Amino acid sequence: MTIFRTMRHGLSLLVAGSALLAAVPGIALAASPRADEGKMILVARQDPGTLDYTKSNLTALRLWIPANVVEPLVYFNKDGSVSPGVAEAWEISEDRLVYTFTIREAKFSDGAPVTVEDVIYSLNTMKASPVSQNAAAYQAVTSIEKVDDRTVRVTLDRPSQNFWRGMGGTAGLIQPEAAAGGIATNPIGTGPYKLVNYTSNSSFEFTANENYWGEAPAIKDVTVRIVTDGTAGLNALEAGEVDALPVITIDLWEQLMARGLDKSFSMVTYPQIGEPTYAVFNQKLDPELRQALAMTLDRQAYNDAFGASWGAENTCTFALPNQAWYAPENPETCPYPYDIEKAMALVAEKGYASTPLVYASLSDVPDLSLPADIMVPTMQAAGFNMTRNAIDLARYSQLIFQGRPPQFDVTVMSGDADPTQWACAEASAAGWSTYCSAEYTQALADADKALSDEDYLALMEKSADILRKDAVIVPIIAKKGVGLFDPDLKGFVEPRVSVAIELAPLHW
Amino acid sequence: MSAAATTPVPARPKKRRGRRNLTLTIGLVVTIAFIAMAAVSFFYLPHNPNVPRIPDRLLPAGSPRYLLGTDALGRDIFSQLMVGARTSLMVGAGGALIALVIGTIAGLSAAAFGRIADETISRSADIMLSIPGMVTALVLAATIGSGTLTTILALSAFFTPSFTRVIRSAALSVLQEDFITAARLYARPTWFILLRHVLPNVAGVMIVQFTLYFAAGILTEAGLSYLGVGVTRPSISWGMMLNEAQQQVGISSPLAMWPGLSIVIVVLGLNLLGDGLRDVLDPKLARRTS
Amino acid sequence: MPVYIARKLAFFLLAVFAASVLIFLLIRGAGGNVAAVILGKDATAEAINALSRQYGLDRPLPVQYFDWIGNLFRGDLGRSFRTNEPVTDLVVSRLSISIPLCLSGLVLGLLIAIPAGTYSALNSDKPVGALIALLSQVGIAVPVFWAGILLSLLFGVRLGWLPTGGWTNWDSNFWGAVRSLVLPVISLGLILGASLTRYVRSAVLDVMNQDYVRTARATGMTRMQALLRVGLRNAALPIATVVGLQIAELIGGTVIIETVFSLPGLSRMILANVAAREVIVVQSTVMLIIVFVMLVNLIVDLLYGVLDPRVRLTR
Repeated sequence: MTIFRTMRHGLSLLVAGSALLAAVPGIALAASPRADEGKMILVARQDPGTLDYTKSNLTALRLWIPANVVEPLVYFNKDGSVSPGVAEAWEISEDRLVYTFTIREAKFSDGAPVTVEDVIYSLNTMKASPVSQNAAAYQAVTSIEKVDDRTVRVTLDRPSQNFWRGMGGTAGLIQPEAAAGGIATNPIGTGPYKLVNYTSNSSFEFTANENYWGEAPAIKDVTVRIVTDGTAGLNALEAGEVDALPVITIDLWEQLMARGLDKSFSMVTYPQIGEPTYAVFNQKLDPELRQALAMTLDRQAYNDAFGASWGAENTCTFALPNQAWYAPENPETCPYPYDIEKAMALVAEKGYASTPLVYASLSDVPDLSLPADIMVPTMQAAGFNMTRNAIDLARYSQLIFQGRPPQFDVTVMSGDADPTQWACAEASAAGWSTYCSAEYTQALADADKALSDEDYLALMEKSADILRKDAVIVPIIAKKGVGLFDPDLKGFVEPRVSVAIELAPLHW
Repeated sequence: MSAAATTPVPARPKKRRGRRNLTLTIGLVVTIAFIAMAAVSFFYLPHNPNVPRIPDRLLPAGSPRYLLGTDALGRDIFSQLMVGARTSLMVGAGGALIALVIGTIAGLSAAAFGRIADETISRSADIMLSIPGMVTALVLAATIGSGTLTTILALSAFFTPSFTRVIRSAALSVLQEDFITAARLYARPTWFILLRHVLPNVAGVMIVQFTLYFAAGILTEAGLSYLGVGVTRPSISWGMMLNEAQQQVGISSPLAMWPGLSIVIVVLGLNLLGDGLRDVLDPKLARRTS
Repeated sequence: MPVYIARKLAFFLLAVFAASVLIFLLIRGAGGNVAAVILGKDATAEAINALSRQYGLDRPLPVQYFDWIGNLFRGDLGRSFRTNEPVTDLVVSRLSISIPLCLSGLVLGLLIAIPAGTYSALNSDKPVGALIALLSQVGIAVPVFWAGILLSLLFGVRLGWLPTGGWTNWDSNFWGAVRSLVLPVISLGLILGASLTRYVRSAVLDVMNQDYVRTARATGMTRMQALLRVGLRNAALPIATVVGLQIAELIGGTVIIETVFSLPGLSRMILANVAAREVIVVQSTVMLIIVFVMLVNLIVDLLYGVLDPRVRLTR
């Protein structure tokens, strides 16, 4: 059996292990030793487990595979313009019901040509994706059909902003049908890089895709090392073992500042990868009780707790600063501002102390347990009768994400800023957040059908206002993405495809 | 035995006896201080260790009102250490005590009540021992949720079998002794032999093992909480404090030093106490070394 | 003796069976569903049910148990739900880290413990012997993760000699891999060495007080000669037991040191897969460890019979 062969292999490695006892000379580190070799090593904090982006929506996966390995039909740029991706051209009918894509004559990284069939297969796979954000882009789609060997036509039954935006996001990623079986460990696409090796909990290794249709990337070999311990990641950067940490989660900001790493490395902040951190108050609770709970949230305290004012903004709006309907915390956009005395008075007046409340806390995610450490004692101090129930991800999934009704009164979550995730047609179909509002859902649907960008924005602002006033999804802060790069590693651009870190523009 | 009682025995060298007393004294002082700290935490704490005071965050040690400073949320470190001592005491002693009771009963039974009892108990212990303790703890934490009680259960689950094994082998070697054969010749019942002859002779082993496992329990609890599957707030553990300090402020921070040092001092104290007690209490060892 | 061995083997098989049921029930009792973890927070109940059905997780537990155990007997450890990788491949790639880590740690521990323990036992009246005993006490008291953090702070951050964490594959960079293992092995070896020193010391002390050693010494041998001629064989017995016990904890219990140094070892794989409820991966990997540890225990048991005839005779 292979295991025993490996054990023997392991035993021979023991010889190497014994060699550890002899001192191994350290390597003197100059700038980055990888600059001259056309290499770079980046650090990822989380292991995705699977690379199947059609089935999984994990950030750990969306950071690296889209844009680098698998490309969408089009790219939406920062200035609002649209660039070609797998589609080299497109045409949108005036009523915004028919989209015609001309597919690029290109090859996938495995050498197979990109065909119209592959595109149709990819779009249909995403249409049936269990990830609701992917499938949501196709809600208005009635048909996806082949026109000729280079042309695909998608027909909608109503105009949809979500569809068009989706074609530049994960919903529009194009893969070869023939290689779909290996997608979980070896996704194939037309991007500037191909995946050479993925070892879960260890690393991704990318190399330049020789079949790439565009200009070859400046750095040929890229290793993304998975270092789950945040401090170890910062240590590695400081010691020169790695060249960049493109995504530094909020729990490390304090440390980053304390060690002065923002001075010795180039720091970038960008909104795309950011996430709103928000409290969720079960909708079954009395609306006035929810409003009193909302008044215990001192947004500045949460921001201060992470120790880096450049990394997060206080907000009462469920959005990120790159979204047009975003608004920072201010009297107009905060219906229930922080007021602990008023909250205490309400608790006393209405007798809320007799209502037992369960606070569900996700124990193994540091950037959610820190807000919980503030929220629970503060709410208790205001007089609420609150118990903290700490559970792991699988249990949290079971009790809250999948529990119907979800088993919590109060919880804190952080994640995708997409406001359509709270759309809910009828109360019985409410998602894990328990939030359901016909008014909110209608405002979102109207916005989706908007024919002009102005109408779209006005309607999105209207929906954001409804969400704020209902005090079920209560935003606290909008975290930004933060990255640290070796000062010699240049060219970082803000993510275009969802949160994906684009490796190709980086250069020494 | 009788020879030792009748003939004058030269006094133990003074230096050595002094060192033993020193070991025992240091161990006793540290352990009492530890228990006192944990006990006081029930009646008095300088600050509530869970309530954040953001304006006071990350104050250095020696700040007014905060003896050892504050953490990233402005919570008093010293108060957290005090509550952490309480957790260590409960989890370490609780886990070791459950293991002691079950392990002793099982170990003595295995040694004395014939082959079937021995095989059943020893094999069960083997099975439990071969499941890595950490795995038991991880799965238990997933099953019933992490927390103080889970951690105690996990500790006793993976201490009991090795306790059983050690007691069994100690009892087996006592049962080989001549005086047991003599007692058997007098037709003493097995339970009597166990209580009268075996138990006193393994008591030293039991005490040493208990203090060892008490200390090991504190270490293991700290490890589990460091991994995030042990104690959770509002309870506080030294391992949890180390994890939080490392996650939020970094390893070079003094915040990572206090809980680490506390663990080392308390565990060292307990082990010294165990050693000192063994020298005083273990009649076998005392007889042979005098 | 053959009967003794045959009986041991029979119990070994029984124990493997009992352990498999135990671990199956433990992980299944934890609740949660890998399908829900894969699909994330926005998945519908239908999607999760469909995925569970596809994975066969909707079948009755006894069916799932016998399916799993039957595959194990055929040498098929199953596949990860998330990545569809065979568990065998996962385990093999992790063992290339865990085995060198555990064995080097254990060897380093013994290299420290045997001389230090013996020396301090033979010189227990002298200051050096007492110093060794004290150092061993301090070593036992240091949590392994704190030792790891301190070493990483000194050699990784301050001096920059060694990596502070992370892993390079053996194939891609052999010396890089060795360097990644140095600090974890030292942390593990120091802590293990400290606790083993204590056992070696007390085993040797115990033996030196036995009548046969006294008799040997009465014939004019020095303490060292007496120890080597008649004592060692007896002192080896409890030491072998302790080392046997340590292996179980080592193979599965290096999770903390692997976490401190971000090494993708076997036990961290188990940790991640318990959290994701990858039940097949957890069951099969844990079973492999259990069978391995039981084999070691079996060997220790048989050694007992060889080293101490009294044990064999009383059975």
